[in-house]
Amino acid sequence: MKQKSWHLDRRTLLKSMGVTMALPWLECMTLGAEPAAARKRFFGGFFAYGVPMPADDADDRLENGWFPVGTGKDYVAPAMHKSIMPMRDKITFLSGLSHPSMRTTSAHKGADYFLTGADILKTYDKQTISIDQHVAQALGQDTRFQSMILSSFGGVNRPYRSSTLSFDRAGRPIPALNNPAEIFRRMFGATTATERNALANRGSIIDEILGEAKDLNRRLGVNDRRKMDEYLSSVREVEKLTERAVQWQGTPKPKVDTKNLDLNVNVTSPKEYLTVMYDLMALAFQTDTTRVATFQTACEEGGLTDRFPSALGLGNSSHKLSHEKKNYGDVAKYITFLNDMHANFIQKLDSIQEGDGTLLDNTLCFYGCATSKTHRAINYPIILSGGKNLGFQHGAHLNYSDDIPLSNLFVTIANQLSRPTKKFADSTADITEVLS
Amino acid sequence: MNGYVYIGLMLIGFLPQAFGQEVNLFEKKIRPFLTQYCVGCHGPEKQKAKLRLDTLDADLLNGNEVDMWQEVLDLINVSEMPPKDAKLQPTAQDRQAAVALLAAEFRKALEARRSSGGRNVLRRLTAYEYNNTLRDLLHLDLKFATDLPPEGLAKEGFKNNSTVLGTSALHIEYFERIARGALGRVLLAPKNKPPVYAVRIDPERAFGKPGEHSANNNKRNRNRGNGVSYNLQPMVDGKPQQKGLFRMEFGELLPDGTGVLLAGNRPKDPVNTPFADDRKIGGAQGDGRSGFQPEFRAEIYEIPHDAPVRVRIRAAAIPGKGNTWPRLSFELGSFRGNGVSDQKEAANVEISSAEMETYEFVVHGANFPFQSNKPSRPSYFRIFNDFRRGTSELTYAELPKLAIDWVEIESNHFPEWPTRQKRAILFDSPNRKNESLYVREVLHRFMARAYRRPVAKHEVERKAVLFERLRPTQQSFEHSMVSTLTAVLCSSHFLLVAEPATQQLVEGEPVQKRKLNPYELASRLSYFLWSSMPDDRLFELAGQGQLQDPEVLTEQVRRMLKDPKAKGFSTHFTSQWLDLAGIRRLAVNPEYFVFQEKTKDLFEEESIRFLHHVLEQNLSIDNFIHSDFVVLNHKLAKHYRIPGISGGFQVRPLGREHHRGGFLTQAGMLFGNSTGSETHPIRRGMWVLERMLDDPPPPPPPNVPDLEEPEAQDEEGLSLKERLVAHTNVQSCRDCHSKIDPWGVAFENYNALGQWREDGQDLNVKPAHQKVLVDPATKLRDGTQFRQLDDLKHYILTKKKDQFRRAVVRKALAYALGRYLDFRDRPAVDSICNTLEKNDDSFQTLLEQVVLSEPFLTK
Repeated sequence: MKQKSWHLDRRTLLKSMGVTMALPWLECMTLGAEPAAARKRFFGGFFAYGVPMPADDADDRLENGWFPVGTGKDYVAPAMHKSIMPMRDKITFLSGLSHPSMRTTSAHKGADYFLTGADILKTYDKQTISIDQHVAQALGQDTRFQSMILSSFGGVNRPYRSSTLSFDRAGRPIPALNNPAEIFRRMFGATTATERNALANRGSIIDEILGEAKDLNRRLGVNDRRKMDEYLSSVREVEKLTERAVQWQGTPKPKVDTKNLDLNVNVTSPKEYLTVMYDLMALAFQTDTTRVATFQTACEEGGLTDRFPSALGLGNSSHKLSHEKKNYGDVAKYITFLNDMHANFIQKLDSIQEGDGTLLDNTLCFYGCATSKTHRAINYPIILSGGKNLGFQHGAHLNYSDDIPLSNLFVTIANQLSRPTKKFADSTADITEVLS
Repeated sequence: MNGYVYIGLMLIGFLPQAFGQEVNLFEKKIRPFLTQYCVGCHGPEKQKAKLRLDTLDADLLNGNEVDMWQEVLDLINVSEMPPKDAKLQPTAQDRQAAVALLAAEFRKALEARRSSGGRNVLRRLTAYEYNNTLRDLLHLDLKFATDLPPEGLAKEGFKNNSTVLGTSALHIEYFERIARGALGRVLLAPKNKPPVYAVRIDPERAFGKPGEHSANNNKRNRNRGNGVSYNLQPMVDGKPQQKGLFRMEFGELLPDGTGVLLAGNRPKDPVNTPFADDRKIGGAQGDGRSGFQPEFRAEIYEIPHDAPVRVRIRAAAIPGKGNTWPRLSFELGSFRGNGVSDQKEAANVEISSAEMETYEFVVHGANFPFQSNKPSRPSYFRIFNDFRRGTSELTYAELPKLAIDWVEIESNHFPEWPTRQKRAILFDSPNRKNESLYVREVLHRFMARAYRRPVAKHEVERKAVLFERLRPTQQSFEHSMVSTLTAVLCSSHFLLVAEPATQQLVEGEPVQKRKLNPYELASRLSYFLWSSMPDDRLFELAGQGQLQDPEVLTEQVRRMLKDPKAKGFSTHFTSQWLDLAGIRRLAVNPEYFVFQEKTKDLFEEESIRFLHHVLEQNLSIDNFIHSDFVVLNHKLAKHYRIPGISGGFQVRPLGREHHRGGFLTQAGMLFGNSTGSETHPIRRGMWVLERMLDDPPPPPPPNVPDLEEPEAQDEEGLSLKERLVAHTNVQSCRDCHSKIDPWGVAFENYNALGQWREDGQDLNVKPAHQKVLVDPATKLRDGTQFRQLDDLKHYILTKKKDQFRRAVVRKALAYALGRYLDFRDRPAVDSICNTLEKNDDSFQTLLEQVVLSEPFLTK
C-alpha cells in the first residue's frame, strides 16, 4: 500500500491540482492545444444617457467634460478620465462616430442599437445581430460558454428600452443575467450528479420537444407561428448548447476563490454591484470560460438602475442628471464614477499575465454610449482599449466627422477578431487608424 | 395626403362612419391649416429645410415619413412653426385643433401597428403564471421561478402581453432545470420516511417553575428588560439533538402558571402618543419586528430547513376592550451574524376563541430564510401577538392578549409516505406491475393536466417511447420518469397558451375567427382569475361541454372569485394596472423622512387588499376613485395619522375629514409618483390620465427635455404651483403640460409619502423641510376649477364617468386577453360598458362581462 508521492498517477494529480490551483496558473488548463497568448476576446460595455459636454470655451471644459481637448497623441483628457489615464498608451478616445439610421431617433433607445447598428427607427423587425454575437461565432467555439451577457437590469425588458446589448442572428434580444450569485454558479459552481444526469438526457428530451412541436406548428396562423418560431429556435439553441456542454463535461470547472467576491450584493449599492459584475467578467476571461462578454451598466428606463446616482449621494436619477445644461458638476461626478468602475476593470485585465503580455493585450474592449449630449444620438463617446496582440494600437484621440458610421469600426473589430467581414449593418468602409 | 387619414381603411377594407367624419375633419381643419401656414415655405415653390409638406407621404402606418410627420407635429405643437417672423400666425385655438387631430391619428397608427388584428396570439406563461401552474400541477407550494429572467412590461403596463413575452434559450435552460428539480424533489425522495425533527416549547418554564432550572441568571439575560429564557431540547426519533434556546421578551406568566400571555405592545409603551414611532428595545437588527413588542422565539440548530414544517400552537384569546381579539403571528428566520437576522412571516390570523384550542399550520421551510448561513448560528421560530395598539388609546390592560399553553415545531412533517405529491403522479393501479402499461397510464394522467386538455393517444405514445429510450440509461423507474416528465414540462403545450386550430392550416390562408373550445376557455378563465391552471371542476365542466353556457360561465366566475387563488388576480392585476412596482423603484429620502423600508410592503398590500375587497363585495368601480371606507392596519393608520385604529388589516368606514378613500389617496400611487422627497405633480397627473382615464398624453417631443423635477422649497417662497407655472411659461412645454399638470396639482395636500398636509407646515417631514406652501387649487384646460382633490374625484365620477368606466373595462379586458386592444374590440368594450352602467358599475359584474365578451370567447 505504501506509495511514494511521485507515484501518483496523472489523473489523481490533475484532480488535486484542480482543487488547489491558484488563478494565475490556469493558463495551462485549456482544452485545446492553442496557447493562451493566441486567444482573442471581445468586451462590449455600455452606459446610459450620454455625457456632459460643456462648450469648448467654458471654464469647466476640462473639469466636467467627457471628450478630450485636442486630437492625435497630444490630446488633453478631462478630469473624469483620471483613473484610466495611467493606461494612456493602451486606450483610444473616439469621437464623432454614430449609427446613421438612428441619428434622428428620440431618446432612451441606445441599448437597442448600440452594438447592432440596425435601422430600427420605425420598426423593430429590422433588428439585426450585435457585433459581440457576430464575433462570438468565431471566438466562442473553444470555451464553455460562447458568450456572457450581463446587464444590471437583467432580462430583455421591452423593445426600445432594451436591458440587453446582445441580439442573435435573427435580431432577437438575448436575456442578460444580473444576479452575481447565479452568474457565479453557472460559470464556476460545482456540477451535481443531477446536472450530469440531466445533461445525458437532454438530447433525447430536446428531440422529443422539437418533434412534438411540428404537429402544433402546422395548426398555427401567421402571428402565432412567429411566437412559436421563437420558442423553437430557442430550443434548437439549447440543443447546440447541450452539445457544447457534453464536450465540456469532462473538464472540471475552474476553482475560484470567492473570498473577495461579494456575490450577494444588488443594484441598490451600485459601487459594490458594478465591482462584482466587472470582477466576474474578468474571471470569466481569466479562466477562459468565455471570450465574449457584454455588460449594460444601466437601462435607459426608470427603475433601480436609474437611481444609481442617488445611491451614491448625488440626489438625482441618472436620467435627470443627463438633462442638466449648465451645472455639469453632478453629472460629471456620476460619469466619473462609471468611468472609474470601467477603468478598474481594464486595469485588472492588464494586471493578469498571459503569455508574454497581459490579458488585456488579447482582449479588445469597446466601451461607450449611443448618445452624446442630452440624448443626441450622434458623436458617441467611446473608449477603445486593449487588444495589442490583435493588432490594435492606442494612445490617441481620434475625431471623426459626423457622417462616419460606427459600424465601420465594427468591421475592423470583426476582421481583427478572426471573423472576416466586409460589411456590418450599414458600414461603408473600415477604420484602420486604430490598428498598428 | 389621402393615405394618411385612411389608416383604418387600409386595415379593414371599408370606411366606417367614424372614419368618414375624420376625413371631413381633416379636409376641414388640417389641410387648410397646412396650406395656409406651411406650404408657402414647404411646398411646390420653396422647400425650406428640404421639406415639402404637400407631397410628404402621409401614411402614418406603413409610410416612410412617419418620423418627419412626428417632427411636423412637434414643431407646430411647440409653436416653433410657423416661425415667429412669419406674417401669418394661426390662432392658438386653430393650432391646438390641428395638433389634437394629428396627435389622435398618431395614436391610431400606433394602435394599428402593435395590433394583432383583434385576435389573441399564442403566448408563453409569465414567470408568475409558470410558478403558480407548477404549484397547482405538483401540489407543491414553492418559489420555482426565482431564477427566470425578469419579465418586461407592455406599454400599458401588463406583463402577460404576448408581444413582450419572449422565449430565449436561457428561458428553456431554466425551464428544464426548474422542472427537473421540482420533479426530482417529488419523485426521487428516499424510500424511508425521513426522521421527524421535533421540539416542544412550554413557555412558562422560562419563569422557572419550582424545582426546575431556569437559565434566567446567565449573563445574556442581564439588562434585557423582561427577558427570560431556558434551554430547549429538540428530538429526532427519540434522540436528543443539539440544544436550542427559548427566549421571551415582555411576556407574562399566566396566573395559574400553565402558560404565558402575549400582548401586542409592551407594558411600558406610552399610550397617549398614538403617532409617535415605536421605540425599539433590544432584539436583533434588521427589518424584523423583534424588539418592538412582546414575543418569544425558539433558537434551534440543524433543523431540516428544506422540508415541510408543521407548527401547532395551543392558545386561547383573551379579548380586549371593544370586542377586540388577538392576532397570532409567527415567523421563520435565521441569524446572519453581527446581530443581523432575516425572517419572513408565515401566518397572521385572528384568534377569536376564548377557549384553549390547538391551531395547526404547515409551511414549507424552503420558502423562508430558515437556513442559517453558518452552523454556529441558529435558525429560529418567533411568535407575536400582532394586535398592536396602533393609533388607539387602548391601555396595556385593555389590549387583547394571547394565552399560549404550548407550541410544537416539527420539521420533515410528512403525514403520508410516500408523499401525497408522489402518489398523485405515481398512483396506485392494477397495472402497476406492468411497466409498459403503467407508464402510459401515468403519462396520460399527468399530461392531460399539464397540457390543460385531453391528450391524444399518439401524444402519450411519443412520451412513452421517450421513457423507454431513457429507461436503460437510468438508475430507476423514478429517474426515468423525472426525465420524461421534464420533457412534458418543457413542451410547447405546457409552456405556451396556444389555442391552435384543430386542422392543419393551409399556408398563406387567413385563419377564420372561431369560438374557443371548452378547454381553451377553461385556461383563459383560470389564467385571468387565478394566474394559474384550471382546477378539476373546470376540467370537468369542459369535459361535459357545459363551460360555454353563459350561465355556467357566470357561475364559474363567481365560484373562482371566492377561491383563495383569486388573490392571483387581485395581486397581479392591481400591481400591473396601478404600476405598484413604482414603490420599489423609488428610495425614500432619509433627509426628509424617518421611514422603515418594510412599510413599502404595506403600501402594496393596501392597494391590493382594497381592490380585493371591492371585488369580494361586488362594489362599484367608483370606489377606485373614491370610497367611504379604507383598508388598513395599525401601522398604516400611524402612517396616515388616522386615530383609533388598532390591530391587523381591516375595512374601516372613514369620515371625509380624514381625506382618504380610493386608489387616489393611497400611498402606493402617491409615493410611487413622487420623487422620494417631494411631490411630483407631473407624474401624478400622468398616472391619473394613463391609469384611470386611459388617455395617455403623447410622449414629449424629442430634444425637448422632460420638465425639471420640482426643486425643494426655495428661499423666495414660491409655491410649487407657482414654480410649475414658471416652467410652463416656456412656450414649448405649455401646451402639453396644461393637459397634464392640473391633474397632479390637485394632489398637493398629499406629501411624497402620501400623508396629508396643509398650507404652512408638514409635521410628517423632518424639521428642516417642514415649511411648505401647499396650494392644490387648479384649473383644467376646459376651465373646470378644482379647489382640492375632492373636486377632482367628483369631476371624474360625474363629468368623466363614462371615460373612467371605459378605462377600467379596457384595462381588465387587455389583461384578460394578454394583448393590446384595437378598434375591433370597440363593440365589445361598448357593450360591457352598457351592461355595467345598468348594473351599478359593480366590479364583479365587470369581470363577468369581460368573460362573456366576444373577444374573450373567440380566437
